[in-house]
Amino acid sequence: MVDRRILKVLIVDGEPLAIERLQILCAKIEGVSLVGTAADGAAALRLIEALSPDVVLLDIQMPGIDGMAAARALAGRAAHPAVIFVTAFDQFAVAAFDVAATDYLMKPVAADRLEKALTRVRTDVAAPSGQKPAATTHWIRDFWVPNRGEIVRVAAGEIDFIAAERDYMRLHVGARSYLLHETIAELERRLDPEIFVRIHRSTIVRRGSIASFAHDGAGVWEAQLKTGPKLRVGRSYLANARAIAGKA
Amino acid sequence: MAERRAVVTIASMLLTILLWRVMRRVEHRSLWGMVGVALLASIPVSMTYAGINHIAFYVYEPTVAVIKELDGYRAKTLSELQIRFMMISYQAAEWYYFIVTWTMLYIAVSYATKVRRAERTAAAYRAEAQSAHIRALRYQINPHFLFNTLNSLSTLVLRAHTDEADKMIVNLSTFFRTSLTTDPDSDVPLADEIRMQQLYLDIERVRFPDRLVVAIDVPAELASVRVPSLILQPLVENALKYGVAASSAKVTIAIKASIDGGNVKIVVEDDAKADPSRKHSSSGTGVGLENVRARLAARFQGRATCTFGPRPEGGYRVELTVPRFSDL
Repeated sequence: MVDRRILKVLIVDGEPLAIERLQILCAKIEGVSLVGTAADGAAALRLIEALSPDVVLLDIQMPGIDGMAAARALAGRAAHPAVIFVTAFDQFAVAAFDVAATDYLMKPVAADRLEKALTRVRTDVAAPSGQKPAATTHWIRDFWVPNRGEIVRVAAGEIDFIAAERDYMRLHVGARSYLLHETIAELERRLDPEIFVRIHRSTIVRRGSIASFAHDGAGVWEAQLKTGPKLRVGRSYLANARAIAGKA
Repeated sequence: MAERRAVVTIASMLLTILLWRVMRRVEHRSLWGMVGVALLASIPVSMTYAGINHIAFYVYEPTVAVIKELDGYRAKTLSELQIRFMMISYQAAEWYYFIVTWTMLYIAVSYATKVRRAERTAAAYRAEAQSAHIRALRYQINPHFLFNTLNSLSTLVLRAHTDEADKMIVNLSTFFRTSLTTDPDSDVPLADEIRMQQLYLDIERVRFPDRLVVAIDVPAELASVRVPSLILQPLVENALKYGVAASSAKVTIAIKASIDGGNVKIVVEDDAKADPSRKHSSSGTGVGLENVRARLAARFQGRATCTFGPRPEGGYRVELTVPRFSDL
């Protein structure tokens, strides 16, 4: 069910030519009306207040309040527009899970990619508010991670396990994996404990992906995942494992 | 008897010290040079040792056995001088081999130490050069710059501003071709480095048409001063990122060079009005500036400096000094 209503769009970017480009692209998409442009985060927040757009195309690197900070400020407001981030380059996933982004676009944005993102906004708007993820839930629902030159959404529920890798965390989803610049402590704090459990100093596992626990006789326990890998259970996390094994 | 032995021992110790000092003086020579010196220097040392030994045992209060031995030679109708010379020579020849062996051992040990030290220095230099190389590579391609520029370029194309777009494509190609074909470990004339930054700023001027002003002041006499390639890139990038991009007012980026004694002073500064976020973003600035500092250290070993900080009148200033005439 797609809403036929006109989408009000606000473009925010530090560079005039970048704004102009999105203006030209938006003008070619049906059912989209550009309501304003802003060159920095502070101006964007003022214009959002004044114009209440449906969607903001938000550059991440900007003077003063950057795109990420502006989106965070928005997340605290009762009614806020959908946010589509537009960025030139990101080597690692941005820690944007406290911001409900509808999409991530890479500059220069392809016309059809922008159209797809705006369609997604319509679908989200049309969805009943009960399903619409509000800022009320504290737990991370999805991650935005770089993958082959794009930034893609990975739902928390799809992740099998997360393993620390030097300064990064690797999200394992089936045979794929993505690097995230975050600490394990922060992830443990922000992932729903009903769904995820920490089993090692450097591993968090989704409860649903554990097939069984086994021990090798020397007091070392391992979690056997449904997807194949065996993960060691840390000594101080044995209680967590026992609780799951007891439940199963 | 014991006193005589003590005298000979002390004398031989002094001789060994003398030989050691001689060998130390020639340590910088080639291996064969050192061997040559050892073979020659061992001759007077063994002669002197044999002489002292002879005086101690055959001249000064000789024992009965010694007198008998001397008498045996005298019976062969040899003159006193011939006898003494023969005895000393025999002993010197015997000791010569011993002293040469000792000296060769010394050469072997000192040579091994020298090789090890050279290896360590080379390894340290290699490691430093490699990290400097990686830091320099980092400035050959800045993905943010590339994609933002392509984005602007796409706008010019969409607007059918073909002349501007064409100029930007040429500038961008020249910039990337130059930086990709320049060996990141090499030095370039200051004029080339400035031209590169001029090109970069020309591209950025299209992105920030109303905000960026560029002022370059480099005297012609300093055009040939050699600097590590792309050493100014992080400084200009920072001025742009934290000065121009972070401000909505007009900002001037100035690049100046001047003579400062035997050094050349290169300044990159901007006049962006005080932005409170700039202090917080010092970590970002810090990485770029630390890279510059480390590259200068690897290249000039303490003969270059890099100082930076906010300007009292607003903006930021980075000052480099490099030797005016540097060996290659």
